[in-house]
Amino acid sequence: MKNRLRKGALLSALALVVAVPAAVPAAAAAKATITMSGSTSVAPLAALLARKYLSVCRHCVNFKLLQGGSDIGVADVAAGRVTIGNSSRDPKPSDPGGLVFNKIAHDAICLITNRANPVPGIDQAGVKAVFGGSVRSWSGVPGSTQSGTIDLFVRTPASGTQDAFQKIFMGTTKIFSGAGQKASNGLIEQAVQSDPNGMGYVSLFFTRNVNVIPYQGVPCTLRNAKSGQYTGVRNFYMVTRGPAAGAAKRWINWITHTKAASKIIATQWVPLS
Amino acid sequence: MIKIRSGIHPLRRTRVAIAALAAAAGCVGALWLPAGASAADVPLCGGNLELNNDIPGIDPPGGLSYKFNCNAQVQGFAIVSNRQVDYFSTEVLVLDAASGEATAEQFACEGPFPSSGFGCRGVANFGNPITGDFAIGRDPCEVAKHKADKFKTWVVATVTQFDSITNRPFVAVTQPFRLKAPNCPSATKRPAKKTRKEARR
Repeated sequence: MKNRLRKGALLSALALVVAVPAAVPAAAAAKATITMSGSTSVAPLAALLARKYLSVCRHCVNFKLLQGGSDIGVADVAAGRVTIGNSSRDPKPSDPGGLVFNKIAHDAICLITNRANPVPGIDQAGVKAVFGGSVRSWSGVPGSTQSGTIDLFVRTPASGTQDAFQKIFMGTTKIFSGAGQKASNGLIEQAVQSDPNGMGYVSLFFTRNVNVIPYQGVPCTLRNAKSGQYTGVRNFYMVTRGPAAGAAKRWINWITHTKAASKIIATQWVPLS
Repeated sequence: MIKIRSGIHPLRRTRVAIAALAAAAGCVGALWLPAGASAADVPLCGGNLELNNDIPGIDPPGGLSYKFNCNAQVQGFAIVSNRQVDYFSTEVLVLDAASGEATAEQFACEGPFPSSGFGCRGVANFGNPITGDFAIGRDPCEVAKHKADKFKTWVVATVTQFDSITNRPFVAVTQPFRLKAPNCPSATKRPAKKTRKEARR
């Protein structure tokens, strides 16, 4: 009897040893991975949201976050290289067909100068004159403490921030071709921060070390963006190929429908409602 | 009953073998160094971690800031930890080594989470400190039950070096350098043991 019991225990233990390694890869394979690429403006928000989502859904998915700019994200998702393309610009007629732009938040675009040059304000005509290249000297900008040429910093063409800036601030006026092109918000912020004659535009998240210029008489702050007083606000999207499905759908639904996500968005961006 | 054939314990024998192998690998490595490379060319990096409970959107504990620099131009780096990394800042600042102010250099970070770390590409000139944030799933100051389980983080950098003969630049990957652990608030002191006299009273 004792022997039989011992045999039984041994067999159960053996079965466990065999079953556990077989079960682990199956479980690992079942966990979906959401890959995201694109906007450098959306990336900081996506990283924060992903951390919270992992804790809420008890690590139900894995994430992989890549950057590159909104156009890269849109192209990647259209080609099936990623699950989600992050975009900080609205859809364009030239975008590939079959894409769904899922709006997740709003973001303010701020005009910035070096802290040594606290320009007190600028209106749309002033922005068009400076970024269009018709005003090239700081003496032509009311309230500027600097003299000499304005060092303009803009984003590369793949950027959603560039696209949104063109639409919201510039209208049909073309951006001055002699402006220095930077690949990310952070690079614009740093270029302006280290250049007293510098001027550029960035997502509100990247304004910690520079002077933020009030636009049309309204300071570029989170409060003003939320209230709608500040008009330089654009949309953030998570773009999917066709309607979002499976893990991506649950993730986007969580972002757009939960208080936990809204709380994170509200730290530096504007929630949808 | 396990029989030990020689006088050396099997575990110790394994350790000796690993040490010998490592020494041999070191000798072979030294022989394979490219012409012109010398000890002075070996890229070195070093830095530290600090607790950061002020990362917007990150509930403490778990938030950390890292800061390191290398004695070469850095083109990329990876932060690797023995804790699960579930957040990292996507854009990383580079400070001027002399003034401490932000430079026009910068890194963009990408990677999976949760994971053991993340990678960043960009540029930082010789000696300029690179600083960013990340978060782990546990309290970085949690006391480890075993020494081997202590919270550790390493940085591996891709750096530009120059061949000392041709002066041509080449790209090298450094060894992993351990970042100094954050200063944790000291644990509450245990009450001092009573002396025999005090105990008698």
